[in-house]
Amino acid sequence: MAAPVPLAWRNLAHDRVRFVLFAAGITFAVVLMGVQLGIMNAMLDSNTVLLDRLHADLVLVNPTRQSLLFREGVNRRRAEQARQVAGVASVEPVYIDYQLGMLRHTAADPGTRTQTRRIRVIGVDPDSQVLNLPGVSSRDWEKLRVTGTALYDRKSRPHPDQTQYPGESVFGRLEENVQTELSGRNITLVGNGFDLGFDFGTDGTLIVSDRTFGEWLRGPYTPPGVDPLADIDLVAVRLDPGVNVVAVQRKLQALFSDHRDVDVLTRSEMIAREKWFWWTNTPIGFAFGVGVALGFVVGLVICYQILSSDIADHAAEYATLKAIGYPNRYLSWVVMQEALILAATGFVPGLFVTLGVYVLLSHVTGLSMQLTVPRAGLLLVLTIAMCVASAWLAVGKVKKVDPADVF
Amino acid sequence: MSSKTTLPPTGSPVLRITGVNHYFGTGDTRTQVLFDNTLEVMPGELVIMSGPSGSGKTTILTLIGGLRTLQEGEIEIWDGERGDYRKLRGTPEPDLVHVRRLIGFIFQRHNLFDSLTAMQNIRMAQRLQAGPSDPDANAQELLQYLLLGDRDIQSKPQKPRFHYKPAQLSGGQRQRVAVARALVNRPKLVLADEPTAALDANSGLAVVTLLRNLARARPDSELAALVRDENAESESSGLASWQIALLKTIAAETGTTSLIVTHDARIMNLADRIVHMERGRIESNVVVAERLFVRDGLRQSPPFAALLPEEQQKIADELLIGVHPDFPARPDQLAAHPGRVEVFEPGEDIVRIGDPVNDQSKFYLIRRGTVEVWRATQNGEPLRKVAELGPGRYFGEVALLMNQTRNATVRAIDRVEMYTVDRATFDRHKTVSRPFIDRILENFRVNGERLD
Repeated sequence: MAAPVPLAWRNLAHDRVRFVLFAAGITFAVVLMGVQLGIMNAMLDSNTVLLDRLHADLVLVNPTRQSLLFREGVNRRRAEQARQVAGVASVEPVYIDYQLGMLRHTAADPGTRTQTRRIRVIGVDPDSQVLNLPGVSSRDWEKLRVTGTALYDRKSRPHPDQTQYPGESVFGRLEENVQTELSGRNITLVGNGFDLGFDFGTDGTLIVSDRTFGEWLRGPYTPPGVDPLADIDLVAVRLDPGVNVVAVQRKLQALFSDHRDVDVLTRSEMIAREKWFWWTNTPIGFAFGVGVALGFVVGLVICYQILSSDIADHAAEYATLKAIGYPNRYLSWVVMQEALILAATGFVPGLFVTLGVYVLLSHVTGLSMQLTVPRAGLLLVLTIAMCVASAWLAVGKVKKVDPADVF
Repeated sequence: MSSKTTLPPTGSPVLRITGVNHYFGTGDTRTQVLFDNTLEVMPGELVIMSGPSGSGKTTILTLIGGLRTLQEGEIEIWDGERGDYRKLRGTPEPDLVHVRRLIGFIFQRHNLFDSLTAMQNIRMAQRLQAGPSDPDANAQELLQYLLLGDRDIQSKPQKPRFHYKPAQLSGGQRQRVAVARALVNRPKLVLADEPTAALDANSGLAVVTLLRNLARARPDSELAALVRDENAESESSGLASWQIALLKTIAAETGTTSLIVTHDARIMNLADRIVHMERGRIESNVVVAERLFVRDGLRQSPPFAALLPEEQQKIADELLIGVHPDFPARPDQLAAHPGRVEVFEPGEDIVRIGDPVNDQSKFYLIRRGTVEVWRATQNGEPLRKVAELGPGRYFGEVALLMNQTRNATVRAIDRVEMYTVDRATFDRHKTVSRPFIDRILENFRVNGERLD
């Protein structure tokens, strides 16, 4: 049999200028979807950066705590119980508070030092290395042992007027040795800072020692005689090397099954739970989902127009193919191939443009926009689905081509 | 190439159309465009369909090709791979697709993909069949023959157009690529709509010669007559000698039937059968060989030889049954044209000596078979065999002319088919050539030697 003829490719590539325009149309749709997905993911990601930085294999969390934003904690006894389980290397408490940390503006002018702003405060044992924060050295962690010191977030929400206040955050200038007030007590910023960023719950973050956290934030609201650090927000569980994470997770779940006051989650499960909360309890999912759908529909219309015009341009030739004995399914497959070629040729440049837009938007907005392989994969799937759907619609036209018209 | 295909049994058609009606539109706008059309086409025939615009030629072509749904009547096409006829009435689309693959279509417009080269356009057709071991060589041979290879009609070297896209080809060259696409699988049935309309004389001749040689092999002398004079002006029409040589390779397999809608007089003269349509009806279906056979047979007879050619043609056309004289007529074919051909079994007397001449008396032209003539030289003597007559010979005109009894007995030796002219027809035309006939009669009266 004669060698196959790549008809779909030839039809598309025959007029190069037209083909470039076709690919540009699909690229546009890919970028539209990619940017919407990027912003959506960036917003969801921003809420889980802290969990990403958590150095833990498993996390103990209160089952009623749908988000880190809420207050419900885990009793210290549960952490101690977890420590006894075989395979557990260490158990480290992490304290988080979104409500009680009020940071006074750091501006030098006393006239403007009246302004305070709520800030997230995280309390950890400086020796625990429970947070993996690039840029924070062991010396910085050592400095944190002194009560009244805090590490600061360089990526706190920027001041809206960067022209007048370049490099300043909404809390003022955050840098080493700056002295200000946290919840009415003097505090000194130490170290070179870390990068967690702002999100829906907070404009920035301070990390203090668990001791400072207990005395300054929890102490005033804890009855006398009660340990202010008895209630832990997150318990980071690290396992011995080579231990099966799921097996230990099941052991811990079995251990706490009677009490039902602890959820034992892997870190990725914890991240997914946090994202799910923000996805379902904010308009992010809907707003950007509509944006992605809009991009999908725009791309579908563009692709449909391309395929329809190709069918109209080649109606006589397609009719001839039918007349000489090609079945409808062959012609449908040609249209489908054209759609897949358009998907491929539009996706590759679209991916690069999307990447460029991510870099630009990250720079401008401070959002952390990351194009990971799974996200690029999702974008590819959406692009293929978009083109295949348009081909499915256009196939009707090629099926209607009447072979009798060729005479 | 369809080398595994078989032709229908001898005497059976490759295409049979029976009582085909067709309508366009629905409801109040429903209009009948074809009326009770019946036609048989034999293997290897070159059939020309003629008729004015709107007479239904193209519609019937699309019905034969399975491109339209057959509404009434039946069309049967011989499927050489299956060894059986495929009926188109009520055939579902997937089966129609298979029917279409049996056919080579040549359209008035080339309908080539502008994105594909000549070879790729042809390959689109080749992909539908398990073809020869080297499909590209097969396609290139066809293109070469059609003057798109490395030699032109004057045998001068030229750049092959194998890998040219349609935009780089002239209108005629594109049409030739389309012809190659239609014939590359060597279909046993070709449907063509004005295939030579866009072609120059040389290319048109090449296409028609190819179709004729795919139908049946032609003697070398016939092909040699087509070779153009190399020393003549460039306008001289004909084929190059290398084309003739190539033709034998390309058309090694014969038996292709072609139905061609055309107004090109150059092709008309080459037809085996001419089907004329008027207002949706097949008005005439003439096998050219049969018409020549009958006309030449009649011409031998002095009463008919005296007629004007138009009158001879008219009588001949009234005798035709649409079957090549090489083939015996089937009963249904005889029944479709009652009174035109009579059949006599071996030993049966066709006329007897002494039979009176009356209104039922006829003039006979032998179509097939052999008869023997018996007569008495003198009164009272027993009959003796004086002659044997074969196809193309005639008898029975003298008794009709002289209004006297038959003077010989004519008996069938084997199965004999006979064209017959009845007395009414004979007498009608006799008046036209009265002076000539009188001279003939005088001659008979003087000599008294003529048979019957």
